[in-house]
Amino acid sequence: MKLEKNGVAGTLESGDIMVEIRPSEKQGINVELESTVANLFGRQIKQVIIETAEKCGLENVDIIANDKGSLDCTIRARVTTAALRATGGEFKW
Amino acid sequence: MSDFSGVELREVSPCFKLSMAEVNKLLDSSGLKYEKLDYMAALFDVDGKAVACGGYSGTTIKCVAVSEEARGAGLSNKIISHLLQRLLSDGNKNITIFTKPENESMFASFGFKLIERADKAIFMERGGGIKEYTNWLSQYKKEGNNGAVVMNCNPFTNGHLYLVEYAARHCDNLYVFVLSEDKSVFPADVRFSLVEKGVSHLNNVTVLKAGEYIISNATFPSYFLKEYSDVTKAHTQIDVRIFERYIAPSLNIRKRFVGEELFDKVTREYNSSLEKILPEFNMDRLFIIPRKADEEGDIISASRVRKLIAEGDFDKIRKEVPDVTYNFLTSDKALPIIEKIKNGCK
Repeated sequence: MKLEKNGVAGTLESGDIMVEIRPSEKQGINVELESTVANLFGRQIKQVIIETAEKCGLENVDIIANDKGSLDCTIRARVTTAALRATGGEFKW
Repeated sequence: MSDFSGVELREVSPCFKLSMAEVNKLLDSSGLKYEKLDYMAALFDVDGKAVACGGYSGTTIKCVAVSEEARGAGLSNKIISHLLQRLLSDGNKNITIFTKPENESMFASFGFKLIERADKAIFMERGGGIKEYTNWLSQYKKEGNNGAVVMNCNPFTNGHLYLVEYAARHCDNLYVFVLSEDKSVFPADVRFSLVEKGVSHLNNVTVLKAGEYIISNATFPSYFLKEYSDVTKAHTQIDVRIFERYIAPSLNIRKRFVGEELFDKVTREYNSSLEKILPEFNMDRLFIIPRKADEEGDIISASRVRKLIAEGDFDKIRKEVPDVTYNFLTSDKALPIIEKIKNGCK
């Protein structure tokens, strides 16, 4: 799926994650993660981000994520919203 | 600790007098001063008191403050989230901030990376812009013992030309950086093209846009506020250090050339920071070139040329500026600029 512009979703408040998606010149989905719980859950958070991004059909993007201890469901919601904002797509409820 | 769950986020601007007064109180208690921003927001508690605020100008976050009693309640996260969301969804990639050294870890947790530090301030950014900039610069890299001049050229005068010609004779390749910030009466693209044409006879000179990291609104805000304050020194230190650490190595720059500054306190502070900091970075030398005088013995400067423009004395201007600037000033394109100068714009 092609990105129209940058997409942002989420906040920096505790329990949330701020996700920024940008078009990239690099191949694939590149995640840059900053997290308060990186030592414990860094790998898992990255995996959830990548899986969600793939599910949204993203290719060749940079995802900059700033996590404040969010749950997986929050991560999925934020990535999906940022992806929709970046692609200008609509969510089918 | 009081409960801050009921805080409300609102935009503030000088025309909202009541909320602005609250925000000013908060800034005051944090030792900050309101400056003109593109956007500002604050969090108000149920009594209408401002407990946290922050804003931005361009892509630089400014005036961030949290009231003493509200620390630790996550309010800075709220306000910074809000500012970042706005900036990022407007398509900005790189966001910068000047802050006190004690805030480093907080902004690091928001994804900001430290670029440079001075005694009383640090400069951070989010988005890797400095790397992109140095990559862009390195396409102009030339071998040799190179030099650099940084100028605003508002407008390009014989004094600037003299400085560039002098510098070009004293190094292998000279890079002339023309400030990119559109805060002077001559727009950035006009200043740039006048310099580019005006030095085209010198074949070892490359004219480049100074961009976001050399005396810009991000790295050196007080240059454009034109007032000397206690943060000016920190700004000059940061700006000089960024140049020497990131920019100079990308272009083999070993020498800096500056015009002697007689009047402007901010520029004098910048020059003195250069003198102090260059040795730390193993630079060959700083050349301070005395100002050039015209035939009548008056010191040539851009501010003098602007004064002559305001007076409409084109015979005198002819003696102070190169042909390229004179031709521009007498063209139709210069009319709106001349009008602005006559109205007191700098």
